[in-house]
Amino acid sequence: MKYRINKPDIVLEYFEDETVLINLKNGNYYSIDKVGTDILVLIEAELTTDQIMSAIKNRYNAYPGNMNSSVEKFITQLHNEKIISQKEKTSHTNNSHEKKTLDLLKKGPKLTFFPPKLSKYTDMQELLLLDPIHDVDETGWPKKKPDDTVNEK
Amino acid sequence: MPLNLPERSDSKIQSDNVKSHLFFTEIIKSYKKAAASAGGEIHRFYKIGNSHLDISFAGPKGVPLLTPAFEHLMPEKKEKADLKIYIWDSASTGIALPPVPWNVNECIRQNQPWRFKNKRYDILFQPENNILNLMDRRLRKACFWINDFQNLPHYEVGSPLLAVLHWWFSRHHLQLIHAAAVGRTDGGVLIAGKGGSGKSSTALSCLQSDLLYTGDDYCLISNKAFPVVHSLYSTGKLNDKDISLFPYLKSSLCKSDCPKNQKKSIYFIHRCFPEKTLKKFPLKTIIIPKLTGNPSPRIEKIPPASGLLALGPSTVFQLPGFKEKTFRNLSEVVKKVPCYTLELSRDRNTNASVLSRFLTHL
Repeated sequence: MKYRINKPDIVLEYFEDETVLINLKNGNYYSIDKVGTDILVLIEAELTTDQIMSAIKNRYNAYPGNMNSSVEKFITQLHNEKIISQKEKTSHTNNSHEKKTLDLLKKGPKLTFFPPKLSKYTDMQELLLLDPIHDVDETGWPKKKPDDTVNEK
Repeated sequence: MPLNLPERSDSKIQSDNVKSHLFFTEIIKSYKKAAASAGGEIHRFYKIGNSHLDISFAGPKGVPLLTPAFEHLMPEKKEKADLKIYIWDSASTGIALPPVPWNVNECIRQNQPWRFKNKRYDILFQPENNILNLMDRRLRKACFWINDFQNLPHYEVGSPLLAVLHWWFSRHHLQLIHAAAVGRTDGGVLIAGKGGSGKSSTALSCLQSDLLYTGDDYCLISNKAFPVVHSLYSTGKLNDKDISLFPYLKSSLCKSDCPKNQKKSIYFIHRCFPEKTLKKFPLKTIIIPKLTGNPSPRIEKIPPASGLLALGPSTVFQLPGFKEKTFRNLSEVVKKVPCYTLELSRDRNTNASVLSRFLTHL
């Protein structure tokens, strides 16, 4: 199973040990810790869930709990929050990016694993009403369903 | 109460590009009629960030409402304007808004803002206050219309023309940022955080210290080799219940006329403290205040991601459009300067002096 980050609704910035994400569509924003950031990098590199598990095992020391289940739970959380979605099988895979990311994760001493943490903030949702649509392309209007009103909500 | 806007009957046969062009042309014509009807145009010139602005009013009604926040940015000599902003209302001029070539009334009935953007134009109608903002980037002209200046929302007095200025500066190398700012000519601090986190009161406390005042809510930031903060509005907002804690703001000269239903008053800092106004400074650090009630303030370093969490979402979601670009710009800023929390003490003067000393040693 492969996933992709739901851009352009999701904008994110990677820091050394943390990632900040904003969902421009619903106003939620998030911070993700170091382990979660590594997983997100691997998702963005278009690795399968199995490859992600394997890369995380290479990167981190053995964990007394179930590492696979922690990673899986985190990926499900990202999916439920609409930060990522399943990638279609026919989509093009960026192999060079994939290899580079795997190599990167193999380097250096192993780190201590903690179950990845996604912190969610919802206090900006009301501000969405101040600006009903997101940036659109140069043709003007955002795409909308036939029964939508003029605004995207 | 939101108005139903007049809509053009031929609206279905034109492309959005044609519609926006015709609408903007009609708006400028209506502005000219409004100016003639209200006794002529009144111009005010400002140097804001890297741009010279010519803000023209159709008649006098809007001038005392929308210009005091910019008083500190009047240039020594008038330069050719980079951007012209036309401002008018229908109530005082008797000139109605021209017909809108889109079906906007469905949104208005739901009291939802309505927005259009293409390569050349930005349009935002805010039905809650019957305000229309427009920008023609090619002609470098913008327009701000309100049905009646009597109903101008209080926040427009403290932070006027926010949408138009955000659209303009987003294309001119400056980023609008939701933060207070204080400092000295050799360096200063952005005070970031959500409403109620202590931004304004910390910035206003600094009026009694050796730190100078750049803004309490929105500023501009450029970020070429290093980030530079530029003043935008010389205003400050305070809850009325807190004014006794800031006796130096009690002068009536300083305070705007506040509608009775508003809990916060707006203060024009430049009017009372012209010597304390700082138009720009190199950014040394970002501070996130925390209300603690501790006896003494404490400053602690935090990761840049925490700085972005404090600065990013509130800026991104308060400004219309350019959201991804805004987020990227702010991410770049927090990577260039260190971020700290300031645990505020009950003693405001101590907070200001600790901030001043901290800045000196950075």
